[in-house]
Amino acid sequence: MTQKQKDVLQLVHSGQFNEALAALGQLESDLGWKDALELRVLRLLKHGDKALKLANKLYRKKISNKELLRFIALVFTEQNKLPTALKIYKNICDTKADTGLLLEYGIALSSNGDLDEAENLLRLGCQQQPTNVNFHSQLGRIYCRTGRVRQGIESYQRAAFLEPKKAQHLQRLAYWSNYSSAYTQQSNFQLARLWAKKAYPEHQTGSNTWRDANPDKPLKIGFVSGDFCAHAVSFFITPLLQNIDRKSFQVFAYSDVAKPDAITKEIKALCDSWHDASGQSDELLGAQMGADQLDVLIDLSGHSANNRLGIFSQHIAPIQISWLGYPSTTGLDSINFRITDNIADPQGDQRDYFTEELIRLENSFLCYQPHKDAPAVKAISKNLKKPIRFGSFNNLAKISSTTLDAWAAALLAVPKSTLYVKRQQLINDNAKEHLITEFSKRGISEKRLILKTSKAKIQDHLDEYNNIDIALDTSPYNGTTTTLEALWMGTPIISLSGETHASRVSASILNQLKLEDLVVTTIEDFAQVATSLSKDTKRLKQLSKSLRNDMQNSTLLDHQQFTQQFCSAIQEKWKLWCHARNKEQGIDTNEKILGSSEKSHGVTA
Amino acid sequence: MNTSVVTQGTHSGKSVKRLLRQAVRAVRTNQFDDAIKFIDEVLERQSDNVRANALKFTTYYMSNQLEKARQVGSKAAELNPKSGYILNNQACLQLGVGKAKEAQELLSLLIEESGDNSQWLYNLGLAHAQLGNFELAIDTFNRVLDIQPDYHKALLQKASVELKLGLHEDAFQTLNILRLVTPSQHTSSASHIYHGIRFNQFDEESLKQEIAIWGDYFIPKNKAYDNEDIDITKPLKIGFIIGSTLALEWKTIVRPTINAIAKMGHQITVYWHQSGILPISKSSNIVIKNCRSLSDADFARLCRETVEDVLVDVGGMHTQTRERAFGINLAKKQYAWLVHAGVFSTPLLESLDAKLGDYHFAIDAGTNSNDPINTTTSTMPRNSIAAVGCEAGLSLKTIRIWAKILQQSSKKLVLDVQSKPIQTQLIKRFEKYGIQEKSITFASNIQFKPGHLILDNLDYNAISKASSALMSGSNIITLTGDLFPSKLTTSLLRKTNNQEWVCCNEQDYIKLALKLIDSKKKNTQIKTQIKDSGIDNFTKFAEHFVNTLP
Repeated sequence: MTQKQKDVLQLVHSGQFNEALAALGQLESDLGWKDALELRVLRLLKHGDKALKLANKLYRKKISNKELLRFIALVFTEQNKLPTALKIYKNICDTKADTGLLLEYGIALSSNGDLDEAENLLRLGCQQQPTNVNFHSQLGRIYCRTGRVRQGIESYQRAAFLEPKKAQHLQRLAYWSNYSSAYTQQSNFQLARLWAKKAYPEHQTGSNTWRDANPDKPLKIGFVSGDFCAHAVSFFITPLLQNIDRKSFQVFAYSDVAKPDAITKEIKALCDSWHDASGQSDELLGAQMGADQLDVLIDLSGHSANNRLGIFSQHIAPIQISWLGYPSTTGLDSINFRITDNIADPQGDQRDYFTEELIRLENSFLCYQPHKDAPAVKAISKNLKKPIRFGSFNNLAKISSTTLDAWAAALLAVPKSTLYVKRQQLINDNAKEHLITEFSKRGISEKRLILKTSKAKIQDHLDEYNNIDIALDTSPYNGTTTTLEALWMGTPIISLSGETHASRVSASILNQLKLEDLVVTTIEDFAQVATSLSKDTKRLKQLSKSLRNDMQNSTLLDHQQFTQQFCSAIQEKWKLWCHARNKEQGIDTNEKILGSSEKSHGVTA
Repeated sequence: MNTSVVTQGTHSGKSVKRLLRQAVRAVRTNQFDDAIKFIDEVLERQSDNVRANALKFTTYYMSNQLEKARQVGSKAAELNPKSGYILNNQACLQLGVGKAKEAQELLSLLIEESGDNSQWLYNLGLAHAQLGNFELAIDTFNRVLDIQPDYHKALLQKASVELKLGLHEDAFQTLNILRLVTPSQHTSSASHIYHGIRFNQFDEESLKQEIAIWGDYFIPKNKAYDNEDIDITKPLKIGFIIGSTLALEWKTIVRPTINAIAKMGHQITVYWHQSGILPISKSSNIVIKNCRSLSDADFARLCRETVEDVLVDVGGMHTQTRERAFGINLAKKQYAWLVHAGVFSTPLLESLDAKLGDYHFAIDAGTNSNDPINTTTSTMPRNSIAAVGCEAGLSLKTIRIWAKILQQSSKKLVLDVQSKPIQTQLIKRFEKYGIQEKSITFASNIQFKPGHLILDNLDYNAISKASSALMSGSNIITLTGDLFPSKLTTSLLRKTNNQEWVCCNEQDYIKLALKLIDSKKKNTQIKTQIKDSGIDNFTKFAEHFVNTLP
């Protein structure tokens, strides 16, 4: 190594990346050490565009240096040029490759959706280096996405054990525990609290004291989400935004959407203020929100991927609320409320496993806007000889052992019935094999399963409900969008309800349609209802014809009423906050805050 | 409450206030005897002086005179009902002498007066557990964890109570979280792995990963050591590490094997890790060393001083596992045998079961009692199926499968559970699957007879009871599991040529059970099968065992 090279390396090691880059600029390209280091420094400086430009330039030349090729592939992966990255990795990676290379290749494959191949590489890496936390966290992601949540959770547990200082692994555990029959409400709650303690040990519980505590003023309400796009969240947030009274509320949206689309544009148009938060740090975003002087801030993500719970830990708004996107507690003391309803979270003697205070709306905790291009419901011509087809288009991760037990029980109870499962991840052999094996253990042969990947277009996806006679819900994490889609497409759904919010969402929906008889609490009853409904062809026909209309006329699609209840609930909490604030400051108020407006907005205490 | 009870006695003439001031000063400077003198002078005059009583308790407590503290603590607590220090510490002292009721009352009062506090709730949880109010104990520990989610002692105690109730899944989750909040403690991780194996919570690959991580993290590495050859033509020095082996397996498998090997002339050392007396035949060839309280380093030193040819770990991965010690090679050859996953955290440890092949244990099924004193047997209730290996409770998976059998037959299920809390929990758990209490009964030491149908715990086979049932001519079926403890009965049945009773999936298992329930089929060949298999021939097995060691 020359002295110049040593000097550059020293600059890199001491963190002087800009100086290192400048020094590298003075060296000749060598299609080896120098170029690899330059790519590395550009990555460290987070100059993605420049790194990509250099990588492209170098890749056009014939390079044999494996180290350089590896960095080029890494840059391509990070900049989402996956096919090229994979081509490079395929050439430079063999089973004797070092674990670092195995990991990078595995991540590239996983990002490209080649989950089976990614899994094989990552498992190999795990064997070679069992204490490398990255293998476990990447495997966790793959396992969960392909329906093997138990293995996924175990992988995340290992990651959390190996890297105890990083809160993100605990967050993944808290999130995925909702999907698992093995986790109780108490353990989910505890994981969330552990995460909160680790991630934000000093998070504030007070509210901004300089806010004007005027109970009657129009409120500035902010929504935070990375799903303001073609995502399920849009079906629920859009009708709310369309109907919010702009005399009483000013709507701010903080979008963390990485790839905005047409839906993003539509949602943006419904907001009074729109801020693109993608790539922005919590500090900067928090400062923006502080400048906006929000009165209410609503989280739509919970512990889902790309969440911004860090913002909420700063307690930027006096009222902070969790709604819609996550079925359990966030674990943060700084989120005051959570919006739900009496079916999803019944009041009773048993304790709530939430750090948030629950606001129970009178009807459902959500309202739905079906896709405008949803196809028509095809009339059923029930042929008695035709076997019943059950179906689910739910996330594979929701197909827990409880779900498998229930579905197998239904299939066993209804002779010759089949089960149609459709999901993009079924393109992966491991995902398919897992389902087949699990059903086989329960006495259901592969012949009775129809496993397909998803349709690209939403209309085609919805049209597939016309190929199902009875939808089967998942448990302990019910479908939400899939439940509503099934019903909108005239397909009744049987739901196994439990004790958690996640396991009661479908019950809440079905309750609005007076279909409580389709909600059961035991696997035996699940099979029983599957049997009786399968035999009741008259009812199946009638539901097929009426469900869409019934939904149209139900509270689920009464956007105005929902918005009114939602907004009234928030206004009431605001008034209570003002009252408490003013009382602290010794300010007299003649305002009757408590109990005056319950009936008008329908809030259940 | 300062009542003026003036008693005769020597006193200094100082005022009560002054005496108390002097007492406080004395306590602060650790002059505890002086402090007591001052306090006693006050109490002679005013026996119910609130401050004096409080101070006396504090003085004894701080000077570690705990029994004296406890004796004065009740009065101090009565007079100072809002003092967290007095009530909590007195409660701890009461717990220490087994007075859980008194402790519970103190803590309940304190919490009612002053609100939830994680320390007080923790102690209250301990009191509930000591009183046998296990569900209340769990609720209380949960309240602790609500306040302090990483309170590891609460997690440990909660898991312990959940195990007492046979709540396998809940206990495993708690141990999971315990491991996450105490990542540097190898015992937490070992316990997590042990219970994961015991409750069949892992598949083989995840178990391998867990143990690989544990080994990487906790076993000191020293590449200077390697296994050496041994010469079996001469008498060997063989050490057996007895860790978590269940009492019945000790009596029916391990002890007879050790005795048989000793009879061959080899020198045996038993490194005993359990509490209680070691029941083993007296022999000049067998030396017993009690190692329970030794650290891994001291244990390693002890082994190396003994200079064993072979060390056999019969404990495997459990809370007191010695696998850390194996990282530095304690004998020429090191094996793990039985009660082990077959997966090891150090390359210096080999699987003896794999080397022994099909014939990897012999079993004496003459004993079918957990209690050496109690030899009474009970008759199988009419119209029943018996289940064995249920003493520590059953997993929900086992309950679900057995419930299906019960639902499709008119039989009752007899479980060999003696613990009342576990019996109560099992009834509740069976009810979740539609089986009413009247269909479940409890009886240990059933006398097995030909034609009886016996179900074995699916997660952790009760190999001794299973072999006893088999040898008595009963029909025993098994569902082969993923991990070693759930494959033992499979080994037994295959070895004795009864493979038709081994099932690989739930449906076949249920079908077979229903078929055998009423068939009253009697295996008249069983005695011949057992003789041919050598499964009860310890002399033969001991030879096979020793020949496999090199």
